[in-house]
Amino acid sequence: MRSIAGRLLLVLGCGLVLLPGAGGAAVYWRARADMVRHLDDGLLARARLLAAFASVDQGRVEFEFDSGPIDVGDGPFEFRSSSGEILRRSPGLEGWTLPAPAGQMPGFGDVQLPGGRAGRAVWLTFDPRAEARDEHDDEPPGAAVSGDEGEVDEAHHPSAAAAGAVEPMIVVAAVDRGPVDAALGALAAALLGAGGVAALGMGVLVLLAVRSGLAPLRRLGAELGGVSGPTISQRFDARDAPRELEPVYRELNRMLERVESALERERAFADAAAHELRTPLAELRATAEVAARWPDLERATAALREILQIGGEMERLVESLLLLSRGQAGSPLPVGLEPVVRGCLARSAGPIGQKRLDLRVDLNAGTLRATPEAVEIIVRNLLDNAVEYTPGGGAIRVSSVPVNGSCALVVENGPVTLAERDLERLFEPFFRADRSRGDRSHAGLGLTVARRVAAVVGLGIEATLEGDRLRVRVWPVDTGAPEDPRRRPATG
Amino acid sequence: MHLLLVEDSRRLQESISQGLQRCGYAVDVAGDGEAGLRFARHNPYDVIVLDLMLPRIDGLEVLRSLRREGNGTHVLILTARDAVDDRVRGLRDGADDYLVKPFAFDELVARIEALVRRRYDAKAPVLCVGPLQVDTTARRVTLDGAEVDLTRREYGLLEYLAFRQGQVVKREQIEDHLYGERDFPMSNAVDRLVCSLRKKIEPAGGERLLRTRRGLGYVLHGEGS
Repeated sequence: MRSIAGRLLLVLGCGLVLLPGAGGAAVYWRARADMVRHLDDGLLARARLLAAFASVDQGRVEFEFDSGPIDVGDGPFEFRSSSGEILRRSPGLEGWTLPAPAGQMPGFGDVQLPGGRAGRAVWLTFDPRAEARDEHDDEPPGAAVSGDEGEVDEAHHPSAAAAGAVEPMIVVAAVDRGPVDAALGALAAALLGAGGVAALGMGVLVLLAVRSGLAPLRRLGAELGGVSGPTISQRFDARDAPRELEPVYRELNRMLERVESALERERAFADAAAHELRTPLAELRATAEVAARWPDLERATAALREILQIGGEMERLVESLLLLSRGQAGSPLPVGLEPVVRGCLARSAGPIGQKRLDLRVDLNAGTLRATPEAVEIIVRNLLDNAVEYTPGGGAIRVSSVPVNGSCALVVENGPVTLAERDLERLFEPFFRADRSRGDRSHAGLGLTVARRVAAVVGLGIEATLEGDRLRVRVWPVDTGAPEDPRRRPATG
Repeated sequence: MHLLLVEDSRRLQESISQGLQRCGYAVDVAGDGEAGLRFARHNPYDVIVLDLMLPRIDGLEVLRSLRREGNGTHVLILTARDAVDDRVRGLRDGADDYLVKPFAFDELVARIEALVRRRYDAKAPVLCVGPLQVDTTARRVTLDGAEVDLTRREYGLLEYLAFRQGQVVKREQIEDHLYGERDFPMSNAVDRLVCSLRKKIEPAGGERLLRTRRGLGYVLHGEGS
């Protein structure tokens, strides 16, 4: 798993090393170039000055500084002929030869000076002044040199032509570059030192900033780790959280609300299921205990019959609970309602007869597109519910009606004592609007199971009140809702 | 002893009432809170066994109504609600005991017996009236150590009189405690029951324990008791 802190430290660390390093290098190279250029400018000026002191008189090269004390600057120099012959050499260069010129003139380059010292040199080609013994003998030597290349300007020396052709010469001027290198070394050391200290300081700051910046995430992680069943109702306090984490806190709190709501529903369902199971268990136990304590054949037979019945009811209750938790779907196909309804009504013939219910079935060969098992479960629960909650002498009507090219099943029963507000809770688990019946063969799960199963196979269920009659309709959802302004949709 | 069972489960009504009747109790049964409240108001029950989730009127509301009206009958709540909050609420609203379904029938009977003893301020389960000993737990009666064979009604009468020994008990009170709402005893049923009981606990030449106070009722009293 990637670490945010690791990635931040890697990127920021690289930035902290590379950017100041590149900046320092740029400063160093710029300073070095300026200093070398400055050095080269001085060397070139000195070379030109030296060239101005050279002259040719009747084929013989003469240097004015030989005739008197003339300041030609510090540093070694050489004069060469165009063929490379050393014509003149400064006193410090005895026994030492400066490198031959290469490339364009004037040329600059690093050289080694006597004693192994590093130096900088300039090579300059020039035409020496031709000496004509005339009225110009008294002109200062520097007046014979003009232009950047140090070439001799014949317009100013008309005597040169008269003196005949003059071979060009090369002057090499060198300087010890030790001071420049020392300055550059000091600059580099200063840059490296300052850069290192700055990088170290920035590294510490970045480390602290990353740790501090990620602290809210660590705190959130710890808070999330503390969420458990007993604390599920608590919410994350985003007041002190950074703005960037506010949506995270908001969504987490929403998620906790959803989880808490789901847990609450599960808990309520489990409580209700446990409660519903306790009563038949109590019946089972009390019946068995009383029969066992005062045994006689008649009582034992009646008790066994009761126990068998209770077992069947508990089995149906457990099946209903399993159906609610599973909700499996199969391949839908048109399922004829008539045989399913007839079969379910046959099973309820006893209570229907005992209650003298007015039963009417008008299905017109209607079908529902679903799985046969789902239709069986839905129809059975709707009819069981109708028979259960219709008082003696009441009426039940089962019919099919066309809905947008398909068919809907309608089960009506009445009179019922339901109110409009009860319709909202009619499909909730274990809801019983009227608990006045002592018979607990129905746990209040029938309509809940019917709704859950209907939703799985693409059927909708709605309940409406028509006066004192409850009307429950089942229709394929893909055909659209049935036309009834008072409907209470109950699809899953 | 006369009990009222307020329970909406038909099967529990039948099994509990049958079992309690076998134990010698007269049991009235109400299937909803409204009927239970009406029964409790008009009959001097020794113990009321009350379910909570009842049709028409909730069990707790029945209990609160009785207590508001000053009815001090001992109430045992018998319910599937097992949460601590439910138990605390039931006891604080005036119940004397709380039993969660499913339950053991023996435990139900034992708790009812305990409440009956509390009703008559009897701490011990064995009541002594002179040479007579009534074991209310084993429902066994001995006279000078010898077991006395009594019918269910005779035992119920003796137990009731033993709980109130020394007190004059009216015939109507005996009827109320021995017969349920669905029993229709003959007018002289109590006299005949007293007569048959007297024959069994007062052998010839023995101590007279059950005396008749003409115009008032009966009193069970033993020498030294």
